[in-house]
Amino acid sequence: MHLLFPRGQTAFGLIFGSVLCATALALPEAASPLPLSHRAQSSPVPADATNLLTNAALSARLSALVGAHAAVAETFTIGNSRSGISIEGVKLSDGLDTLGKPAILVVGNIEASRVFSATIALSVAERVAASFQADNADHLLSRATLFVIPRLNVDGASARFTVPLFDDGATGHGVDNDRDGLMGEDGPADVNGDGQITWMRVPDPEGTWLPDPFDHRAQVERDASHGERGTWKVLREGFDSDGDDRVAEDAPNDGLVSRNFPAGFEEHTAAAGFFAGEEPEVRAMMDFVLAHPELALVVTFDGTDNLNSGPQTTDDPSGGRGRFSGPRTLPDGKVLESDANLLKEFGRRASAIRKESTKADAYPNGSFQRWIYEHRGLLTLDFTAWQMPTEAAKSAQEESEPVEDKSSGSISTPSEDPDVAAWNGEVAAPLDPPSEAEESAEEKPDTWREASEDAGRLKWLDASDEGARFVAWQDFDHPQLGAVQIGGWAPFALTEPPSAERQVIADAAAEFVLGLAPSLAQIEIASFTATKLSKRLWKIEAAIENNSLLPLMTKAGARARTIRPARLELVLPAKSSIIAGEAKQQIRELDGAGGRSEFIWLVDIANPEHLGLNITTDHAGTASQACTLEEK
Amino acid sequence: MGPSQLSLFIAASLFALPALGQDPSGATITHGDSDAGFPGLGAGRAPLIEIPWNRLSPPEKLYEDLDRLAAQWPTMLSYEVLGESIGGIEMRVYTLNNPATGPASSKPAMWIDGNIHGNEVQGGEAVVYTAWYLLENFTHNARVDDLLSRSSFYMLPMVNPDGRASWFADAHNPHSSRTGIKPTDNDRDGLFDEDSPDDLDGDGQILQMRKYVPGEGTHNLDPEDPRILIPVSANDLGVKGDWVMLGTEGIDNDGDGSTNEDGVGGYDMNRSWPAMWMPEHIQFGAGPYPLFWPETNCIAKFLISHPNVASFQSFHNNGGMILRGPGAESFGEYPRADVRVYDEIGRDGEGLLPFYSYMILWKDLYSVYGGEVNFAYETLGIMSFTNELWNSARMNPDGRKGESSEDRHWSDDHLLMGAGFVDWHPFDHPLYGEVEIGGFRKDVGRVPPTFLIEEMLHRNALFCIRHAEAMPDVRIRKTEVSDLPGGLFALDVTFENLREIPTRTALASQKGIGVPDRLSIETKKGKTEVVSAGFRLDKWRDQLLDLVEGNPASIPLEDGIGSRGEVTLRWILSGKGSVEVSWKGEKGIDVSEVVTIK
Repeated sequence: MHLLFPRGQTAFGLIFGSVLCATALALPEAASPLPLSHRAQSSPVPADATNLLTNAALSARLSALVGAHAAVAETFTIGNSRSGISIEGVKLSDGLDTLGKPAILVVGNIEASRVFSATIALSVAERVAASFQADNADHLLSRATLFVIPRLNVDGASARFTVPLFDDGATGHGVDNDRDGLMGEDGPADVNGDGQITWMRVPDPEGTWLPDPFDHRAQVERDASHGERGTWKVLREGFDSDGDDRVAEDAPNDGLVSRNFPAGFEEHTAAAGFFAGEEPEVRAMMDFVLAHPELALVVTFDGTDNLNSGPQTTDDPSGGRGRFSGPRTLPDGKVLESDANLLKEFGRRASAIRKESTKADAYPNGSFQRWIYEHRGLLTLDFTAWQMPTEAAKSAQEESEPVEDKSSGSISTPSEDPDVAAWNGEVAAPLDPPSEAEESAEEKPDTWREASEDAGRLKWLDASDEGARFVAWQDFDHPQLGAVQIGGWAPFALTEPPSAERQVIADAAAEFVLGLAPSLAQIEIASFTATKLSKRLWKIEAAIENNSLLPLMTKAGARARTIRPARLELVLPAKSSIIAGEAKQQIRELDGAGGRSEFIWLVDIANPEHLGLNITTDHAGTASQACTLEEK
Repeated sequence: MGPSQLSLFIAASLFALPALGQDPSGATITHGDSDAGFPGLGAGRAPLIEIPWNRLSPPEKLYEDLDRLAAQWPTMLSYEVLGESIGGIEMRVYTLNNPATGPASSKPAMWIDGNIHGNEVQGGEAVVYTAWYLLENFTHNARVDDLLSRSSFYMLPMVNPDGRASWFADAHNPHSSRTGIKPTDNDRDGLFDEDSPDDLDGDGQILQMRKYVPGEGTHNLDPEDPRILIPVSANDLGVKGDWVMLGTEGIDNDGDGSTNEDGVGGYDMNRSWPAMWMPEHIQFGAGPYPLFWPETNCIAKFLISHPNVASFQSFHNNGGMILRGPGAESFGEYPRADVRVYDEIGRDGEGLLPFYSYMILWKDLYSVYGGEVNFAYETLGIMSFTNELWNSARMNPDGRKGESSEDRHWSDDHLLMGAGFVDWHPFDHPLYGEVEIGGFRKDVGRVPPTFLIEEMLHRNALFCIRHAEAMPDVRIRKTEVSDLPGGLFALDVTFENLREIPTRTALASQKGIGVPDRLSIETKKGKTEVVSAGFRLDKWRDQLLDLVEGNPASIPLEDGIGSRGEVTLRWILSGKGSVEVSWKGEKGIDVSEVVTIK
């Protein structure tokens, strides 16, 4: 039950988030990044990663990045948003775009409200560019290309810098939510003129919300089976602008970029868009991915998380030799077991930058992340940079201590309830911040309930200096609804990290990405030998290995058949003919961490000279080896 | 006070039927006896545009024929270009409409397309024939005039013009050129379209290969007819045949050990629509995301921006079927009210189309994710059918000859004088050595021979007309004013839909597709006030009203007006004067009526 979205609205990414704000980093064991100080010296780019960036500011920072590091950085655009804003990215490369060189794609700010995630992604790019030195073979860019698209949802981010402030995640071309033939004619509005759009508590006998007994600033939905009756309807701050007796039910824009991808797309759900890929940002992003078969790994800073809480998993498909022959079960958003184990390992390696567990979904329906994994077969490492904790920091209070309920009964009725009394004008003073009596109360109210998540968040809030994130409920005489209360969580309150934590988060993200190079699959020829069996008959043996953490392709990639297998070619001297084996073969699967594939040929060779073995991949390097045939 | 309703007239001129026998320019056309024969009789008026309906033609010829029709009926037929195919051919949709009765967008429309699979060519001709037949009969046939007065048609002859062009121009078999021509790496070797079937013998056909392998094979030659291979029966004696089949004519062009595994394109545009779209590993041919290919994308955009489309027909070519969704079992059944309409039209279709079976895709044929016909209904809420136009059993319609190889050869020998079969002839294959190449040509099996094409086209055009005639036709059947206590009046208005297809399909109303119909009343300010409104629930007890919430002067009707259904609304009014009541909806011509309350 999420009190913030009482009318069944689900604003993905607003509710959930994870925390990624520690001071230390866990790097993959093999990584040896440069010391921080060294990198800082070489970077003329402002190190400040605490700002929320407008689209213009983001663009300027990208230009500055390229200006400062022209040798490794170049910008690109993947297309335009619905409103015509260019979606920019930066490509970082050591300039050697060799065949099979893997690429990592970093994407931020897909959900509209995750504006700071663009800053995180940008910081990653800045740090990677600034730290590169051509002679450092261990540097990320010596192994891989890095594409960073800091902000996919440029239209959505615009709302962060618009007054009144509103965070409903809306982008897209508009949806006729109330299906009256008009689009966006009755959106939320800043009724009380405080510059932000929050919530309204409207007293109503049909209302389903009542005060949370643990904190009356929060509200909970009634449970009739416990004898509760509702007090309020809780509505988005707004008017009934179109005269249909409904308030703020048709915002100007509603299609969500973060729900418009084809994997698990929710048909006939207004916020998801009319069909998958309808939003130009989504199509541009998909086309970018399709045009880059060298992508080996995707990292997102957004509102989903698959490293903290772990996604739902399902068994690997059965089948031999990389060909799945089992029944075709429809994709369900679950991660195949082997891939989930990889996520666990990445999660372990990233654990130091994740301070608290998060409830952010992994692979929500219609998300970019789910599409990348389920349909394209690429592993995504998805970080939710921050979400407001649902309990106070442990140093503050160990136990949840609810507000004393003086009514002693378990039923809150409008006349008895202090909040309602306040709203009725019976009690003049607003109830927040909590009174001292409430703070010091030691008895749990006589209720079957546990404190709601919002009550927990408020507890965290009260212990922080982030009080502006909650707008105290204020009585207001609404021109259409009469006496209401306006207040609640301020826009972006639940998802935007506190200023003090931002630099730490951005630094940690950059360090994590910088440390990814050793994890990328790398094809190697472990051995390539020829043995003479008879006068002209040679046995040729080769072993191909991958000693990185990531396999040549994920199980999802093998299932989706979207990752191109490695191609192996045996190059023979003239006047040779193969007695057994094929000169060209495909390597479909090769596990990580010592995954090995062996090949044997019998070849009739008239002129013993050199043999060659070439292996090419799209995303795991190439390998070539020669072998001199030695008569024994 | 008794009923005080006095005047009643039809306000919207759109609603009036055009006078029979007037062409759109207003000139009167006399219906002489010579006109009477055309709708299907051989003696009588000749068509104005002669098109040989025993031919199948490449893309440019289809457009040329449609352009001839547009030149003859310039106000009735025009086209717009929705985009371009991968190969650069215009994606033209032709609008057929009688402008004298309103623009196409003001009327319920039928969408008709064909040839989404490039090899399923006759779907294109079926679209052109339907346009031709309607135009030739316009002003000569009352039913056609009525249909064109209250509906319009959007006709796109080729969803896959590139596939069609290739099927005519290049070597193919009956099943190839189904795909579009965007290069696609089917075998994932980094090369695109590098291993197509090959016309090894250069005869313009992709045929079959067989090889004589005495005592080592799986087949023997039919002793009665050596063109036919007979499989050796399973036996415990080690008895084998003397021949093996080696598949489709071709070689291993890319040397990867597989033959013909990466041909031109290699996808299926009828799996790319956003209705239960599934990725490639679930649904072959779907592409990387819905509407990936420009041909499908531009059509989807057109359909989404034309909510007046109420009927949808797509023409395919193989099997003799009238298909509807669901495409997949997991969709569940369609809503019962819509199924009744489907069944009614489908069963009439079985009457119009001998040998065709009215079938449900997933249940009776196979599962299809992302099908076009599914998109039309499941995403857009439009009644939609796919017809599979041909069934080779039609060569001998009374069933005395079937579809066995023997019977197919009999038909080819006796009805086509053997023109449909390329006899087996030797070829030196680089891998298999001495083989024989032969088999039926590309234009046998999935397309009818010349002498049966016109019948197929005509019957399907009439099925489309049958379907189009079922599109919503909304009228105001009755208005009645009665007194209420306190000086108020009740205005009861009955809106009816005369046709089978509801103004909003049950699915559209369930899923919230499109905009609900709207019942409105306009009053003169200061004279008449709308106090309240409610739907009449009982014909006899007029106080049983389902009172509407919100504005009583403008009422959304989510369920629309059902199949041959009606809705009676009671407006409760104060004051007197003229009021105008109306129904507006996406899939019907708006109607209104002025009622005066005295």
